[in-house]
Amino acid sequence: MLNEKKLEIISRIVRYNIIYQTFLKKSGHLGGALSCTDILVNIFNNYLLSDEKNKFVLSKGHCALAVYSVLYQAKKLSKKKFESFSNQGSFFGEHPSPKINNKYLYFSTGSLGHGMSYGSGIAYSKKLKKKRGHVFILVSDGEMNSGTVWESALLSSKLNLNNLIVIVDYNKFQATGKSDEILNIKPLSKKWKSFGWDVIECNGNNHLSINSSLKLILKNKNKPKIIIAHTIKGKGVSFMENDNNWHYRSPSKNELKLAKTQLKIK
Amino acid sequence: MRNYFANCLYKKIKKNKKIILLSADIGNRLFDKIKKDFPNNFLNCGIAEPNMITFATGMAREGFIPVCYTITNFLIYKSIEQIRNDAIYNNNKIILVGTGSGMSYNHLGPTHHSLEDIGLLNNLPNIKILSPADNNDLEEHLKHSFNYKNNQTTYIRIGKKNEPLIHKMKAKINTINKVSEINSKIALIFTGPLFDSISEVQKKLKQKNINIDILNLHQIKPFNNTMINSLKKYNVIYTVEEHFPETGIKGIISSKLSDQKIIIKSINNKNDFISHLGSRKYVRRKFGISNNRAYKIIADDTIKNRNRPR
Repeated sequence: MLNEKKLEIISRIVRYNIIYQTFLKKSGHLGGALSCTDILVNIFNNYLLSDEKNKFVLSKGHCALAVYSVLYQAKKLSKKKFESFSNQGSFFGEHPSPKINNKYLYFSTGSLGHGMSYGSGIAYSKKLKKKRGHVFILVSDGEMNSGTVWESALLSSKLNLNNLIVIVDYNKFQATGKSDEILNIKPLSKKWKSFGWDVIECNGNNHLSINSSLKLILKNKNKPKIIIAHTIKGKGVSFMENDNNWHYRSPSKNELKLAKTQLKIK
Repeated sequence: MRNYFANCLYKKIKKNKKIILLSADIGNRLFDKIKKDFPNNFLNCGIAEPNMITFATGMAREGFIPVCYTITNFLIYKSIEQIRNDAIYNNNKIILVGTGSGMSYNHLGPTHHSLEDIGLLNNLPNIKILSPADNNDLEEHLKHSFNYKNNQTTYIRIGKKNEPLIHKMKAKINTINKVSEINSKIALIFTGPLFDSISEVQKKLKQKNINIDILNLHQIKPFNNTMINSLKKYNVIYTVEEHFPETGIKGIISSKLSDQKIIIKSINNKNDFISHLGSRKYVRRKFGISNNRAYKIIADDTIKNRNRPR
């Protein structure tokens, strides 16, 4: 397990690499990639890379670059592959391709509301096979609009999939506005509790908070688990934070420079 | 057919515990024996078909062979994106078994009919579409679906109950089944369990000195070269199906034989929902499927053709 200080340093590097690729390739979905960076850095470094029995599903497929960046920083993805992001002929797109087919990315998402159903199928299979380990699924708050999320919530609860850990990147925004204004998904905790899930809230941009909530929730052996991680869209760069334009736009050269300074990258 | 499916699946599960039957809350008592003897091999996923499909693909990833079962229209129409993305694009083989296909639910109306499923799935790459005419076909289709060498998602479009057996021989995968072949230049080709609605046509036409072959298109996709070549000898091919013809077997055969001088015509030419309730025969007749209609169309065309000056 890496301590919070180390994780925080990794987060800054991972963020910068995301922003740099977005700058180079003029790609979108930067805000959501930055909001979930700390969650990904945390679960990959503390749970996924060290234990092959744990599985991962990226349900908010549009932020695949954040996963590539975490894997690249951890030396689980080559520089060549990472830098092929969004290039002609590459499989490392804004959404992951099944052709990537490594231990962590083998299921293409992009259409939202699929990852939970898929991950719960994996979790149930693990139980049938009496295999240990957890299935971590990263979902967006926008996905809470999708009916399949709730279909899957019902089935996972019925099957008592205590090996399932869903983490919501609750950055309060979706494609065209505030998630609470588009379809009011509040109160999220109460909703999930009423569906029979073990719910915990945390600050998803703070490793101390993520660590303690993961430790706490893993102690419960009974129910499927969901961590509602409150995050900030565009986290880490002041002028990107809570500005939903960064769902679509990419940084200019000057903005990249500013971001580099703010992230303390030399 | 659904009872036979349940019996066949019981035997398959007995031999291979990796087979898991997922149902979207359908098949009351149908699977009691599976539930009792192999409780881990059955799961009712509730009336939530899209979740069932993607859940199944997760299980496929972990080495299971999931069979997703419910009424065809719910199975396919509610979940087309899940079938496309999660099963096919992501290479997770599942077996889709749609029950009550076509107009099997003749008393329940168009919300329970499936007249578009073949077209929807035929449009997707890397999927197999099987359409058994009777239980013998179904048995062969299940065998083929579970064969470990077959790594493609497979759709089996079955009927409901009391479909008569039409074949002595089992369906052969990758071929078109000949129900009755007398080396004619005219063929009547059907798909699914509807032979009873065209069983008189051949005999009636014979009285007018018209000979036709009756063919059973039990495998719709892949539609391979052997199948294409076996149709090239005909001058006229009539199709009949509980499906809209443009995207059904009429459309598919037309596209496969587009470089041939063969007239291809559908007996059922309706492109609208059948809201009338009634017996299976009645609803089929409303849709344009009957012995009389098939006889009349083929006889009229053939006689017209004979009298045409050369």
